[in-house]
Amino acid sequence: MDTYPLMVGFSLAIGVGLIVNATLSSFYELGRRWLRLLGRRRYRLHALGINGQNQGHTSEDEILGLTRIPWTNLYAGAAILGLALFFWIGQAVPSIRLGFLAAPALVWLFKGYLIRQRRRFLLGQLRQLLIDVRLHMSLRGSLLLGLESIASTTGENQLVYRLLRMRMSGGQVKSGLEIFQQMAKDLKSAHLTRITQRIQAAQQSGGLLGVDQAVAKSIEELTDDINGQTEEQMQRLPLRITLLAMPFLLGPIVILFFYPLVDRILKTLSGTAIGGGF
Amino acid sequence: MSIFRWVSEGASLALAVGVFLILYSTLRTLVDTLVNLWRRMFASWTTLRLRDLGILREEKSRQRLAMDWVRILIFIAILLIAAAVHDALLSPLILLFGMAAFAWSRYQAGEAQRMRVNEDAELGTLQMRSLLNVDHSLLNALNGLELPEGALRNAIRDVAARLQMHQQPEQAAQALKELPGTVTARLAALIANSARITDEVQMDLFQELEGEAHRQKLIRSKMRQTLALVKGTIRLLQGVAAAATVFVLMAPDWRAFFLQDIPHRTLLTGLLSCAVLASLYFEFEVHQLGSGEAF
Repeated sequence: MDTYPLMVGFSLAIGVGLIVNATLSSFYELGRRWLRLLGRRRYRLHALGINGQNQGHTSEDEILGLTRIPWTNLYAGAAILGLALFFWIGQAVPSIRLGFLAAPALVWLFKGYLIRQRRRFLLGQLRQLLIDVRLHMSLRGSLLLGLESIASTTGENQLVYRLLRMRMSGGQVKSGLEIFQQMAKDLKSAHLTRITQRIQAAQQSGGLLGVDQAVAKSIEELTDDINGQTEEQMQRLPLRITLLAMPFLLGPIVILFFYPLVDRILKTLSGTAIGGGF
Repeated sequence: MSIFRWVSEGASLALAVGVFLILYSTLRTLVDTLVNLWRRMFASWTTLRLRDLGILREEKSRQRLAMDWVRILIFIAILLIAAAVHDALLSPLILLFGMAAFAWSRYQAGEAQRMRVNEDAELGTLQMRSLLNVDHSLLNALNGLELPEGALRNAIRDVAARLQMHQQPEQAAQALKELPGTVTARLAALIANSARITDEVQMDLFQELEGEAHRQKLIRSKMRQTLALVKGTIRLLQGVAAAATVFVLMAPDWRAFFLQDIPHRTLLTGLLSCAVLASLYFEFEVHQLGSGEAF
């Protein structure tokens, strides 16, 4: 009977984890408030854009818009649910009972899936942003004003647009190029870095190459990439989805229908059940 | 006192404190969610009252009510199935899956509406360029647009009416800003800034938007053709899975077999969860690839 030691160990881990999380987040909040009080003068200078050393530090969850989901609660809830299942059902199904304790891993997998989803169509989003940049630059006259206009008018909630809105808020922005640099750093995107370099080169070329031309060139490049990817996806998609759908949708159907029949046949053959239902 | 007892009591205490903390946090999140839900409900109730008073348009109200009836019917169907199954494990499970399906259908309806507005905006952009070529007046171009019935058409009418009342284009374009979609936002920006740019620049920008709209339409239609077969296969499998589930839950022999003890119940729960999660995953995948986000 190793149920109780496992149960105790897991309870201890969950409890300690939750207490540590609650305590550390309380200390962090308290420390941040104290720092804000102590460093008010520095923050004023910071607001004026004079001291901008830590400017633009944002966590990955914030960038990807995952901060709204209470992840700690989900992890803890999954752990408690797993513990309850382990305790009550685990004894009846000894072969999979340790699997119940891995319930928090499902939350982790779900988070990973969300992160991949947010980054999945980054190229398409970047291309749309650049089209908007060209349009708004023509309407407003400069890259920065164009970006400001996009941030204030767009209703899109995609990763790139959300990041742009985040970077444009606060009024500390000095140039459009700086916004692109920050976004490239946040997204760790090679494409966006290349676009930024192209815009920078255009700005430093002394009128030889316009920013609009640089953006147009980047759009062309992205269009080629996306077209290639789309073609590839179209070729692979039917096979990939159908092959994945078969085991996960057809599998349960087959088991639901035939498992009772197979079980019945096996029991009849072994002589443990003759006549009656399943 | 033995060490094990110390550890055991410590673990119980830690678990109790942890559960308390997490419950507190969860309750706070729940209260926030409920408050948001109440606000939304109150907002829609206020909208209905405003429609009754004739301040808002009648067409939208009818559309909304029709959609709500469909959802109410789905909701009642889920409740009926859950009641027909009458099992302490399966009934809540069916309610849970029903809620997931309900939320998904709601999300899909919202996305379909959003896509429709965006496609209407693409059509509007194409027509506006042609109309502006003939007559260089924004107001006449807006009045000459022939769009399908929907939110964008109403918004365009509002913009034209505002321009006719000599409002600034920036103010007039506010009617479009509440609508979703990238193309809608671009059209709104072009209308709002029409007074600042020359006809030549305006035509160039409309031309660019037209090219982009054509490209999007082409890729979207290609992708939809490719997905048609996959969608059909998945719908078929979903239908068979749903029929199999209902059969297993209703047929006395199968029901008795799967509900006989905990291992069989666990197996049934696992299989149903697998089918539902896989179903939702494929729906989302197909939906995402069929929408314009990918390209």
